[in-house]
Amino acid sequence: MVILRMIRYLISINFKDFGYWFWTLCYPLLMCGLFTMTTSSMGGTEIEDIEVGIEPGHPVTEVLGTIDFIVLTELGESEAVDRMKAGEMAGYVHGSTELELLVTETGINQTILQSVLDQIRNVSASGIPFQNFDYDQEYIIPNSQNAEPETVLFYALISMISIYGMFSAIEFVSTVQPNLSLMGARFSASPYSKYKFLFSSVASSLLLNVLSNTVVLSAIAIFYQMSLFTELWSTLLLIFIANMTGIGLGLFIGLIPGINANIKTTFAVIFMITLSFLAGLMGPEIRTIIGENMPWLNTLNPLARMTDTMYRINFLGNYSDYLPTIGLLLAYALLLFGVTLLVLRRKQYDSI
Amino acid sequence: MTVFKSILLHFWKYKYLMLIFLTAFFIFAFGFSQNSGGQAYESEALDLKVIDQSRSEISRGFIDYLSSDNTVEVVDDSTDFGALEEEIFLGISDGIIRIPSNLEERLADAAPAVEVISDQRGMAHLQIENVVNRYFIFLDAEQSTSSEVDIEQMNALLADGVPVELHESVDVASQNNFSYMSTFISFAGYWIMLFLLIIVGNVMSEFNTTELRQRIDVSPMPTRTLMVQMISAQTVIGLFVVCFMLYGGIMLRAGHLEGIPLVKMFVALVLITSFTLSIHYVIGALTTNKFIINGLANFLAIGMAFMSGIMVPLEIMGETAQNIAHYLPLYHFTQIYAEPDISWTDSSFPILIVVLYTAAFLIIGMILENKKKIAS
Repeated sequence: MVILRMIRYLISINFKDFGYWFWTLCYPLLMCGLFTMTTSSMGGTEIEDIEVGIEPGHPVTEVLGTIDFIVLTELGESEAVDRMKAGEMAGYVHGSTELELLVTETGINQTILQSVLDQIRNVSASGIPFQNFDYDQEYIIPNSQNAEPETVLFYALISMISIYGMFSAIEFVSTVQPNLSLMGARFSASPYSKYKFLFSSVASSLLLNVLSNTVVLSAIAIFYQMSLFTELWSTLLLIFIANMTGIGLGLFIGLIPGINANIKTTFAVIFMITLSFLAGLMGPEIRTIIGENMPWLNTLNPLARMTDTMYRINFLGNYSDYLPTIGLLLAYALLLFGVTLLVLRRKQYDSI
Repeated sequence: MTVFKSILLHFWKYKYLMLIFLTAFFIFAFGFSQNSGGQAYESEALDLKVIDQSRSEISRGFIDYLSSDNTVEVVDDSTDFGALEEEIFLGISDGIIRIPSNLEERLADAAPAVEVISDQRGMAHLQIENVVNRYFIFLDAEQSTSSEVDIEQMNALLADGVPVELHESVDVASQNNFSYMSTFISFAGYWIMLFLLIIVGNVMSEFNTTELRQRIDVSPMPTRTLMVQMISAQTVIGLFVVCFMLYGGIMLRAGHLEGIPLVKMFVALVLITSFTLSIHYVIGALTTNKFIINGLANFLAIGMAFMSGIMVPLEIMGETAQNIAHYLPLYHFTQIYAEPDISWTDSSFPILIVVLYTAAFLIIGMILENKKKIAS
């Protein structure tokens, strides 16, 4: 009963702090809105026609004109260069004796155009009669796997808010340390069990953060109409375990001696943002670069592991790293709780 | 200079955090520098994974042909197919090509020869189709012309492409130099915003505690002197970070600085620092709650960086997002050095916009600060 009362008090203290709710609720919701707005057309790329300029009367005009994704315009070189520099045209086909391509930049459209022109050149150079080329034959069995790197942003954000429990944990450790707060000095002198207080604090942080996570996830599903969770229960379990890890991290950061809770919180913010960025919050590219050059970093980064596991189970139906991720998050949590208990127990001060 | 020194001492308490912040920035910046381009036109290579179940002369020839212009990795049958699909999902790989064991029979029966897994909505898919079809069209044409096909000879023929030249007005080396430095400075701008809003925010929240504010209120120091000293201390920190980042960028790209408007980039960084400090002034006048400060700092910095095309290129965002971007100061910050040869006349408009934003936030901050003072 004493523990329950303490949990209630601790929840009540945080509940009344507008700043806490701004950080745990408003900020993630604002970020989700932002991501939705900026990434709405990222995944839905479409095959577009390629604008191509060609020298008037060039011999390949007729052949290029039959290709359905090429839009051909006859014009002079200088005008073509202007249009290419303005991004309105991919390339300019010219050359009286030999087929040549003029470009002003490198890109997929230029590469496709080059590939088409290569084929025209190869056909004429091969000496094979044109009627032997069968352009109607299907050589490919197409199968689609959509590229949706933008979802990494959302999962990285959800991973980030799952470890927000660290902030209340930092407050707790700072509060309970007699050399850092008046409350800590009182606790130290009182007969109240430190372990009971630790348990109450972990439980209250967990409850509050799970509550705010639920609100954020519901809002994502309802307001932003996103189907990020096809495997809801597995994802929720992962988020719950990550909450424990976050609290463990907070307790550990809170133990750093000699600095006040403000600096610890700032350190936690920077640490969390760095982990989130590496996990893909700043865009999928960073995550890819890290994955290619320092894969161990993503393996150890709890947020990167969580992000990866979430899109794997929800988008790809791949559970291969689900249990290892849960194991890693739990191991971090247990290790950090253990260290906290070891450091906090039976500590004595000459003067406080 | 009491306040000036006191604020700098507060910052000194955060020295390790500042060090971590700057180190993290340069790690990211170094990562970017590894991907800078070459000196001439290069076609865009597809990143392909090939599963060769046929292991025939035709399939080997096909892989050789693909490898000439693209990044091809031949993977075993035993490779986790889910992991390959994940690479497409994340945009790391453009596609998977599976060559079936009965490739030759399929070709003889005029059945589809290979399975291609890719994002069919993108231009890369079109290129994969082009490249794959080209090989098999030629193979079929060769087979129908002569009974025996020399794959090596056919590949040599297919490798003979049209000459592609970059227009003489395009200096690829300078463009690459500019492209890298421009990304670096945009990223630095974002990092400075985040750094100043978080560190300065937290330092000033300590400085703005009730006890200190009450002492300041009863002290004989005029408000103007106090403000000058506060702003000077913050400016010193801001300028230190700006110089550190710009100099770091120059060091990272030493010898590749041709075609880069460095002075305009410096001006842009100084302006974004001033703008950030003015935002911080408003936040500081509104609250001393560290959670609100951190939340606002993160949202403003990440939000503006996203909407201004620093993290994700503006071109691939929706029209609404692109329109909103034009109203954001960070977008105008990037426009100060938008082109390698941008003139001061062209830069003056975005400079003016950022200056006006800074002034507007300073005025709002002053109004809020005065209201707070009257209320206390």
